[in-house]
Amino acid sequence: MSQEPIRYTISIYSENNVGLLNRISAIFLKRHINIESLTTSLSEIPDVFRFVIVVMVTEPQVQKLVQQIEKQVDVIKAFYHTDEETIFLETALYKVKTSFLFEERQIQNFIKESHANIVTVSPEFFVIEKTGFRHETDALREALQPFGLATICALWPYFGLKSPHGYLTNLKFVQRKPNLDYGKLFQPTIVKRAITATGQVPLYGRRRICRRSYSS
Amino acid sequence: MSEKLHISGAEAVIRCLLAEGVDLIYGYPGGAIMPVYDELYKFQDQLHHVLTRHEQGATHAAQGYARTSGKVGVAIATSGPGATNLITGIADAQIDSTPLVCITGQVASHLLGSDAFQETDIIGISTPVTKWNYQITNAEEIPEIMAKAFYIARSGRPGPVLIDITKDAQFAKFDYSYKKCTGVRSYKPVPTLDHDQVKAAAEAINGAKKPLIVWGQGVILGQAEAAFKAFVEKTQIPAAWTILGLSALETAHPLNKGMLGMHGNYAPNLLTQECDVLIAVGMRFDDRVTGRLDAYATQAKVVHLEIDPAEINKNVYADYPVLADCKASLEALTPLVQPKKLDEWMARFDELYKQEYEVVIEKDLRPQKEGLSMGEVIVAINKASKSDAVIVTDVGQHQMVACRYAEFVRSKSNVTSGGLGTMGFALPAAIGAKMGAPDRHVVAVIGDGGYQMTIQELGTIFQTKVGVKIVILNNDFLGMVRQWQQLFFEKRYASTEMTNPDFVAIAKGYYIPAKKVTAREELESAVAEMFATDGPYFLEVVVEKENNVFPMIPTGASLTEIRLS
Ligand SMILES: Cc1cc2nc3c(=O)[nH]c(=O)nc-3n(C[C@H](O)[C@H](O)[C@H](O)COP(=O)(O)OP(=O)(O)OC[C@H]3O[C@@H](n4cnc5c(N)ncnc54)[C@H](O)[C@@H]3O)c2cc1C
Ligand SMILES: Cc1ncc(C[n+]2csc(CCOP(=O)(O)OP(=O)(O)O)c2C)c(N)n1
Ligand SMILES: [Mg+2]
Repeated sequence: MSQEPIRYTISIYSENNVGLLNRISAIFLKRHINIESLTTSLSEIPDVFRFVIVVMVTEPQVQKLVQQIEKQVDVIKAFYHTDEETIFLETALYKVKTSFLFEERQIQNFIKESHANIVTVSPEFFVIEKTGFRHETDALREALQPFGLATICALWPYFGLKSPHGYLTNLKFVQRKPNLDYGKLFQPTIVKRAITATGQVPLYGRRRICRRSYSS
Repeated sequence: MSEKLHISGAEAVIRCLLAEGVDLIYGYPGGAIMPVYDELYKFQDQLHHVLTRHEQGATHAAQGYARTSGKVGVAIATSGPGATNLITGIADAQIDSTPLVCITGQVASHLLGSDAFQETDIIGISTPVTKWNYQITNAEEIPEIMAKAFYIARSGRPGPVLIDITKDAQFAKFDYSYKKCTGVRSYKPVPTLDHDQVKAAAEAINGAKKPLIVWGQGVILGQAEAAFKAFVEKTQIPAAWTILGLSALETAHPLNKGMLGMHGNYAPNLLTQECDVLIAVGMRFDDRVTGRLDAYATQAKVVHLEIDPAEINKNVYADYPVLADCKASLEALTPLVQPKKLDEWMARFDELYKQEYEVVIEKDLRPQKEGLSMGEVIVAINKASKSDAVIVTDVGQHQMVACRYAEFVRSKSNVTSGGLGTMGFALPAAIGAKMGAPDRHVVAVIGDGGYQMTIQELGTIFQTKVGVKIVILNNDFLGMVRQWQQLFFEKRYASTEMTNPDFVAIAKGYYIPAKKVTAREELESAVAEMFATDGPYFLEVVVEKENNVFPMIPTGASLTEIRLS
């Protein structure tokens, strides 16, 4: 088992109760583990809530985290995944001064080449939207940087798993059975995309690795 | 129950408690919980409320009650400081898996978040130290949440639950009806026994040449004492205990090989490092038991009978985990295991016991020094109680000595603060322990330091006349810390020596019969008198100031480094 900290995505299926977020984040706090990103949303199952949490830890650590999380009364099931097992796309919004749109022709080319869209234009600024993999949103940011990129407004992340089955089709409440191999309990799969309330996550801050967050 | 009553939330709280079979609760009133207290007044002939002298005492008393009775302990307090005072006891119950339901009053729901008088975020504060908690803002939620609270507290691996009820929800009237909780969909308290795991464990055990059983509180919590004994007796494998597992198998049992861990017995600690199969039953490999983890029993295959999946592989890798209530797993395992002849292996235990006896035990129990030893006092208690008292201990040297030398013939007889090590635990816990086992002798063995942390509970003892026997082992020191200062800080006794008050006068101030013993000749008769006296009794025993507890495994050392002196 890897003793090196790597990025793990923990997904948690739970009841939607006041205070559960606190209870779950306390599990990380108690172990002095920093949460890289955290998203909460409805899951693909009616009535069931979902947390997606990204951390940089070792595999033994992530296993213990998942065990402790799943132990909480209001948690139905928790899983962990490596980057290889997941896909994520993100939507980035880039805010640029409107004057550049007309003065700097390249900008229009960038937009075309990267299959981005202009979502709003006002006399002061316009906003470009790009959905793609991280390297694609990064590339567009770098391209726009010299042209007075004002801010990156928001990030809508999408998280899913690469394999083919219904993620939670097996998740019958009555059958929840403690199994030690949490991450591998069910065959993971691609989940239908749903945009979640992630809040305003600044895309490019000082610590780039923290900027991802995910949802199903 | 199908009765429909139109009652207040506060009355509903009381009716829920009654419906759960509660007849005794511990608490302290205040503004935000007054509606419930008003109902307690009306229901006082059905539900007895014990007024402790501090809310911490209420939680510890509820813990003591739960530990001797096996039932859920209930503590109740007001908002703000009342609620925060509960926290130490709740944290203690959480780490020691004690079933508690704590009820706190809260400011009215329209005031939440306004920094109202005595408002505190007790849900936020208690979250990391509760098994579950919930804030009720609407009276109609009370029956369902209370039922859920009791179900969660007592099921699976037990633990404390806190229910915070806003004052408006206590006043509001609604149509009450109660239904016991039988399940929570997101919560599976007891894993289903997997027979393949049992078979694999049985094979490992049957193949063992030098097996060792280590058991813990899970045996008591799962009421698995008989199943455990049957397993031990059939296999004839030597068994050793954690201090929370103590008393689950009688002390005199020939296969009971004593205490594990930091101050445990020489043989089971050293032979943990030699055994080939280590069979852990309902214990969680606390670091006080394992010493340095990466050197712990590395030669052994580990069988782990556990109810909580999160404990498997948490500290020690389990080659053969068996997830279930240990009563069920032991009952499934016993028919599959064969009796063993382990003469040579057993002889190793005897041999090491002899070494420990010569260097440590003899000195502890028959000291040559003039001053009394703590061990002698425990022996006197064993003798006077015919080894059948409930011993409640605080935290420190006296705790270790009591666990090492107290003898037991029945389960649920050793009550101590294990995981949190809360000084001040014993006096209030003994009150609850006695109320949970009213027909038994309950002796609180406490250090002079810890006693002064919750000494106000003498008031509770006086008022309720609960027959707790209090034995203070007075060394005028925070002895356990002093021992460490002596061994690891070159005797720099920073703030561990205490100038103590006249403890006898204080007990007498509460009208509790009291006596002080300073000489060996007086000890036995004083202890006998204590047991012969009806009701509470206070006995101070002045012991050697600078005795140390041995054996000892220094923190961070491996079991092999256990010291006899
Ligand atoms: C000053 C001091 C010194 C100490 N020194 C020592 C020492 O030398 N030796 C020592 O042993 N302890 C010592 N302790 C106590 C120690 O810190 C731990 O509290 C103790 O070892 C825990 O024992 P346990 O694992 O049996 O109990 P718990 O912590 O209560 O764990 C019980 C385990 O059993 C499981 N369980 C519960 N119910 C069931 C069930 N029905 N079926 C199966 N499993 C179940 C639980 O999930 C848990 O894993 C000391 C404490 C203090 C304060
Ligand atoms: C609330 C609390 N504070 C501090 C400690 C640290 N501590 C552990 S043992 C001990 C000394 C206890 O002294 P005493 O009660 O006199 O018992 P003795 O060791 O002398 O038997 C202390 C201070 C603790 N366990 N609990
Ligand atoms: Mg002392």
